[in-house]
Amino acid sequence: MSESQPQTSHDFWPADLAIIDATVTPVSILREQAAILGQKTQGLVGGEVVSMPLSGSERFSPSMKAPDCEFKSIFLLIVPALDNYRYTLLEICYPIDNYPLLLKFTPTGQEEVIQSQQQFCDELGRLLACEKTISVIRSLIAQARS
Amino acid sequence: MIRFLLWNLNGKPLEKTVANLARRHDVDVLILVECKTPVRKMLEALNSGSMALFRLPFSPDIGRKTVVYTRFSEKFTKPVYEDGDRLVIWRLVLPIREDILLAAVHFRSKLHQSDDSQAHGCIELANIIRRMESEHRIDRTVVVGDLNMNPFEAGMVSAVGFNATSTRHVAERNNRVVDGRQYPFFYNPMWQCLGDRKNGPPGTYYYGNAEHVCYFWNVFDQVLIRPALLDRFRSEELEILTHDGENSLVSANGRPNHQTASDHLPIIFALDLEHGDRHVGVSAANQS
Repeated sequence: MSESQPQTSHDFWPADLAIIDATVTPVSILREQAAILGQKTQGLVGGEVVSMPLSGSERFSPSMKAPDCEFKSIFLLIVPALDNYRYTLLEICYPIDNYPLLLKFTPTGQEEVIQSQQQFCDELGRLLACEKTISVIRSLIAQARS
Repeated sequence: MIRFLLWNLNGKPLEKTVANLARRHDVDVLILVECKTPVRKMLEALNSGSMALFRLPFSPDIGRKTVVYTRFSEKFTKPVYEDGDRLVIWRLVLPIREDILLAAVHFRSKLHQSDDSQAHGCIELANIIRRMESEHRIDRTVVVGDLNMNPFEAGMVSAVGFNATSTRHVAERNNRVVDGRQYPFFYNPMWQCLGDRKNGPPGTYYYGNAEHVCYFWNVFDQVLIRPALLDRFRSEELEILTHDGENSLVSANGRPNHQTASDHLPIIFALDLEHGDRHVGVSAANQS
């Protein structure tokens, strides 16, 4: 048996494997926005990202537009003054290599399949700045102050 | 989105498993039936390392075994009705979300009453729920619990009982008329959990014996949705759970592992109460 084994070990991995930038993911982008939100509202409304594996029925649901998704992350608005009241603003469902992902904006129920990081950033920027998001955050701030 | 988890713990000390399930599925409302775990012990397990803490909305009566923990402040959970362990109803008044009535039910076991008695008992429960809806002027009601009946049994489908139908299409009619009286529907999505299917176990409770009539797998643990909440209910999120992320809740034969977990399996479901314009910009808590 030992005769069939290679005499020298082979390294088939690319030389730059360790320095491939795997740090920018949809989840890391959401986490960054969550942290910024707390600063922008003086801590009245913060953000939190919660991730979980997708359940079997969700993964195979015929309504799922991105059928290879394995994970789900939720972008929550958190209001410390209301005993950490939580409001779901966004959801993403994504495969292990992140794209294509399904982005859902929960205040309207709008869903969109996102193909790339650039498209994700563009769409996220549009949703976070839209009238509905601002209305939700203002309502939560008003509740926090009342 | 609000996620609910229902589990009959069969009196077992399963707080670690409950906490695992709550974390893994980011649960907001926990409905625990036959729960004998002291509140302090359960809260310690639920809140270890969590930012949004679970609370017990109301001080439980001594001996109560149906317990609801939520991640919401007490000021957002208003008591509506209480009848010991059998039926408890709250109104969830959540900022910039739609209010709902949440009715937690633990119906008596088939060991202690006949199918006919159960069906008659459903008439009274359904009457109470309709009366509370009328008094509180709300038709967005969720009934959840261990009903100790299958979705097809008389008490579940009878017009004077829960009037719980198996399809959204029928439930969308809102109500039906029998002998000149109008009865509001519930939608019962648990019909789709009966028997073999692509994903998930064939029920929530297994009981086999040598009687002529035996279903073996049963769906006693159920959620019923009023038609007004149909567009908020996410069918793809309804699931009977068999794993807590660390340990299986079923034995090698696929049945609930009552040695290490409970004789019932938990169910999880979600409501999209954020979706819609009605309460955005309005202080829901201040309306009550």
